[in-house]
Amino acid sequence: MNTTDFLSAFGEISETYVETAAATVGKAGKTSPRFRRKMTVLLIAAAVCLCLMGAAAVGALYGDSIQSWFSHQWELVTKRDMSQGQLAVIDHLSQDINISKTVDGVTVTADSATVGDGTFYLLLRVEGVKFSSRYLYDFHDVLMELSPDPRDEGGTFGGYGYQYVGRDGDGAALFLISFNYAGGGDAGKDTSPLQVTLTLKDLFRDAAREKTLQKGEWVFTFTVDRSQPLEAVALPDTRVEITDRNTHEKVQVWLRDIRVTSVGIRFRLDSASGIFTYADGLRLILKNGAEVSRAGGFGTPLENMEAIEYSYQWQFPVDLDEAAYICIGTQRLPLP
Amino acid sequence: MEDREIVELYWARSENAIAETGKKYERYCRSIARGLLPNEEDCEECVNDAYLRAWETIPPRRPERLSTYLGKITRNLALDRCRYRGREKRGSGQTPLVLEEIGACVPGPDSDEAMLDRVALTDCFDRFLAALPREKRDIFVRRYWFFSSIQEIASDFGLSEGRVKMILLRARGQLKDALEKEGLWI
Repeated sequence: MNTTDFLSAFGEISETYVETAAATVGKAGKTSPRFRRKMTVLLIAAAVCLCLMGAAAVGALYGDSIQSWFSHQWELVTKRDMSQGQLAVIDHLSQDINISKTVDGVTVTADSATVGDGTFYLLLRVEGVKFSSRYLYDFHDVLMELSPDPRDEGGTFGGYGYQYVGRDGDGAALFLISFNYAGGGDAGKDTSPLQVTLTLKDLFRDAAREKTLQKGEWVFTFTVDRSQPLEAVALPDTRVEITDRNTHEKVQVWLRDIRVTSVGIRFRLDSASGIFTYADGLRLILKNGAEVSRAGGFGTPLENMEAIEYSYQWQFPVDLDEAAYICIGTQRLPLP
Repeated sequence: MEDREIVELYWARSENAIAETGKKYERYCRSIARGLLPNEEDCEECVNDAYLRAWETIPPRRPERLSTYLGKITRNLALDRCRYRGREKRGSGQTPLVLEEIGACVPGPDSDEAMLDRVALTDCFDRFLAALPREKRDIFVRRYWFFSSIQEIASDFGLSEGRVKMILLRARGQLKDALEKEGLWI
């Protein structure tokens, strides 16, 4: 592959990213320099949490566990407290890790993880620095190695993302790392423990002038238990209308082997030769009408290129007893 | 004129479709082409070719977002032209800077899995972008989708050019890491 082919492939990125970037063209001329920086900071603040987990204000104070983070997300979306069933689902999927490493007074704790089908979330707490709601915080590098690495399975793709999500009640900075993978074969079926080695390098404050707060490496090794049984609902094969990635036209495709769990959804999408599609508008609708959107996930073309295996995660784990149906494109898929 | 109305003109095979497209999107398309094609004549031809391509493809297509559709056509035509110019002037040192920058992230030569790689590559791009903070993501997309110059980006984001270059350098490193981790960087 040469550089122009590579950039040509980059032309196929999600239209959302293209549109949000297009909105920045010429924005300097639309605001006075004095306010421009401030607005940018506000835009970042508004976008950071939207990017990974949905709406939440940066600088907001959360509790001190991954359960509290998901509770917060639940309350934001549903506008009500979590039910006992919802609490039980999150507790069931969450596990304490509680390993701390300190570099020159800055302590990072791998606090807890929530594990599901082809995915896990990890909450990190950082203490020893006075964190402010005015700034975003980041590490210069976050490296996560897994053993066994699900991506070593033939035809399995995966990746991880991380994001600063705010401060907890003690003023510690919270970061959320999410890892997910999808593929044919047994990629999602292996429930053996995952050995995780996580390396974080150099904590910095992200603002108009980037400032390194602490140089150094925080290295963690821990195990994530993947053996918790997960409630899954199988849905019948369904024909839906979604958007073709190349032409942006609506096309009819079959979704097969649909499997909904409290953390996400998997399905295979039949794809006519050369046509690849977005699973657009995918979301879970609760019985009270609240919408849980998808937080992450991706598709992996299967060997014969005639189908794509998709795996998407919900914004937060959901008690399926409280879920009414799945929306994809213009189609509703009722849950039993 | 609304995009929907312009698309209707294409479907009605009215030549006003191209005039209306030009009125609304010439600057937009030209700014994309200019990022890769410093020669104004090339730029103009590229934008005109983009209109023609839109005329040839609508119908049967009915793009929901005309701006992105035109942007993508312009971008691809500019890349084609750049590919051609690259062959024509190989070794003349006229490779656009944006291609040189991204060169270090480009996986190995074509293989039997090239088609698979391209689909996986696009998904990897999406995941990589999702993991970037909003401002860095916008900056990256401005540079490598819209081919905006460093100066334009710095001005639009209220940052120094050095800072924009640093953000892009780091992001390219992260992209290369992501490609390596997913086995796409051969």
